Amino acid sequence: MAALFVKLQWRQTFNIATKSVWAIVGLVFGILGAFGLMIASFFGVVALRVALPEIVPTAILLIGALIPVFWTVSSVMLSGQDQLAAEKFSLLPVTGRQLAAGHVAAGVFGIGGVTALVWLVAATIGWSVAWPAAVAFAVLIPLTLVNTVLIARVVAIALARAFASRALRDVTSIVLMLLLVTVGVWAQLAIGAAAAVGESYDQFGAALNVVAYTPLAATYGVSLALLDGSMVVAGIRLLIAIATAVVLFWLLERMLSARLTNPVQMRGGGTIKGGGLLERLFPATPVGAIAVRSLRYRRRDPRHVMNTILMPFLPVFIMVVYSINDVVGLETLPYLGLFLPLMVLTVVGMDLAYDHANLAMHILAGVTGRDDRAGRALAIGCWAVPFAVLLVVVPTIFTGIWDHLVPALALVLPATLMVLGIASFLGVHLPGRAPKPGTSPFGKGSSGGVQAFLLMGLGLVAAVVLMLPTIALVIAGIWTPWFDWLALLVGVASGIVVLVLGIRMGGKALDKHFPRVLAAITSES
Amino acid sequence: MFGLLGPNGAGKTTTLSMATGLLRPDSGTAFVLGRDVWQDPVAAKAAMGVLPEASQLFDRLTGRELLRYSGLLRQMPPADVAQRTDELLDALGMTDAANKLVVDYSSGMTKKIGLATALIHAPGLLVLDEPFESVDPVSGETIRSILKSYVAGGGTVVLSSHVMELVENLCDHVAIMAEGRVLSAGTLDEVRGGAGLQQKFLDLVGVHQLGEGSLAWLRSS
Repeated sequence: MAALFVKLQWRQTFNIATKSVWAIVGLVFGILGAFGLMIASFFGVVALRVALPEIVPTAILLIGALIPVFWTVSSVMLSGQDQLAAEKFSLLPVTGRQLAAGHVAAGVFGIGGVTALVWLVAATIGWSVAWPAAVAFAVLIPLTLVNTVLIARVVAIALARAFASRALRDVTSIVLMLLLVTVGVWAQLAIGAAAAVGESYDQFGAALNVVAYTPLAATYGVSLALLDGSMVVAGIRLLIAIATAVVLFWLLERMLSARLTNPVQMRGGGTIKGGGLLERLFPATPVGAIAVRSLRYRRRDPRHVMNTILMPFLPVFIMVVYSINDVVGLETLPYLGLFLPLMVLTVVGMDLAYDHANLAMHILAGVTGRDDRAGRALAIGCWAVPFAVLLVVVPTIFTGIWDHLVPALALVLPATLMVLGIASFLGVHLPGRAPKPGTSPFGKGSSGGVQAFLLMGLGLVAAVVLMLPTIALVIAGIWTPWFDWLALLVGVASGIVVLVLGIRMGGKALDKHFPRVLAAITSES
Repeated sequence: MFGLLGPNGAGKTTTLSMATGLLRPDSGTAFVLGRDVWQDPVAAKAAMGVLPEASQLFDRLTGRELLRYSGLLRQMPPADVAQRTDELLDALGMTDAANKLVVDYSSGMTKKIGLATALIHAPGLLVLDEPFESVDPVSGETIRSILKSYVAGGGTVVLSSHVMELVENLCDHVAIMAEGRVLSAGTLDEVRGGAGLQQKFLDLVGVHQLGEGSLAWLRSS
């Protein structure tokens, strides 16, 4: 029975992964990535074992305790796509116990399980600082794996009912995405914290000794205790590890049995109140309607919320990180606002792809290409243009260096306007691919595919070429300051021209290619 | 009211997509009330209303917002949009759900709000791909009466379906297609030619006969 579940899981993974050429390419890179991770962890531990044997146990225990946490988080994130969801088996004569065993087996022998196994083998080598510890650890590898899977499964299934609410799912996917994007900062903070803790290494070790009693790392704790020569502690921790497996399996069985007869049903959110303000702000024309719709989506669709937050956030983020780490001088900060147009380029360029099949509604209603382009550019412009100004003005106020205000503004503001126009045109020819509506912002297509990269490259080249007169004036402004003001004037004027031209040319192209664009963005389902 | 019939995969949706401007045909033409869909798309599309598939609706809008969007995209005056929105929501029994997001609607409600978006600009032609699929009997009756009064008022409906009884009851003209080709077309009586529509359909499309001994193990006695 359990073997059937393992096969079922692999068969489904394989079928999804081989659906198209791009999926296969993705799979290959995924495997290479996981493989790289395994090799890295393997050699990392071995190297540590050779070079710094005294900190090996601490490091292994720390990483070991983090693996179930990481696994649990990813299980919760993906719980909507659970391939072995109990509901799918409710018409078959299976019991909760069989399902629970199947879930554990599928986890242990799945991609995650195999990756974890490589780590555990590497960790065994690490424990070889003391042979009893290594032997105990090797013997306990199956229990470690089973406990890891059980912790993740039980938490994910326990939360599944809460996550049936669309509103909660939306919020979580946004929060997780933000955490992931800012992972660099957290890592820096963690390293800082670790360095601080390192000075009081004893306390850190004491804390880890407590962690070693928890289900997260009890099996690691056994080896740690053997290393210290404390048989009693090792015995207690072994009991905790075994109890964890027994209790969690019992819980899993209970929850799966319940789900067989009482399925989790997806729930929606509540009613939307008010919202008339946007409708009053924009004209009641196709362009206005598209802008209103587009702005509403930026608030309600997690995929758009993501992009909308990241657009101004990324430049701010870079400014903060750079200034903390002294990468650039403070006077350069306003120029980093140029990361905004870079974001705008992809957001506008891929806006069609984010509509997916919804674009059919524009085609069926006979919307002209120009109205489509103008409405979208207007919505994104409403968000991007004020930020273009803020991203220059705020750092200037902050640093108090006013000399660079005008030249930076002369670059950032026109570049933002131009990119709106350039992407309105290029986006028709290179619509790219986006995650489907209602799926996770991380989902399939979140990288945009080859077309998105092309769009980025071509758009950048076009923007730089079109900005050349402005750039020349800004450079001249280094010697003759009033040229900066001329640059701002020329820049904004040329920016508006490019914006208008981009919308017109893009509109014309879209009129011609509407069905082809629709086919392209809905092709890989 | 014109019914387009065919088995799964016959090309009904493809045909309708080409006629409504969603899929460019390799050759051939499509005219709506005298306007060429591919030469003069704006005029042709103004004359027709198309029931979108569920995946084609902007489902992060509320029902009311979606209707307003649909009306404004078609360049209607906002006062008309507001008035017709209220009337449509009322007629379809959806006033209570008007301020809920379409993504949270049941499939029957999604179908009804889609129909409303196709009707709001009072088109001369209504194109409906599987309009009664997953619609409960009460809503089905509502839709049926709306369509009947629409046709009585001079409108034309083209609908696709594979439910014979429904087409036989509602439509006065039908076409049967399979594997991308129209096999028979005309008035209901011409096509069914004395026999029932179901029988005629099976004769044209071909029926998969069960062999004598197949599934023998299903017979318990």
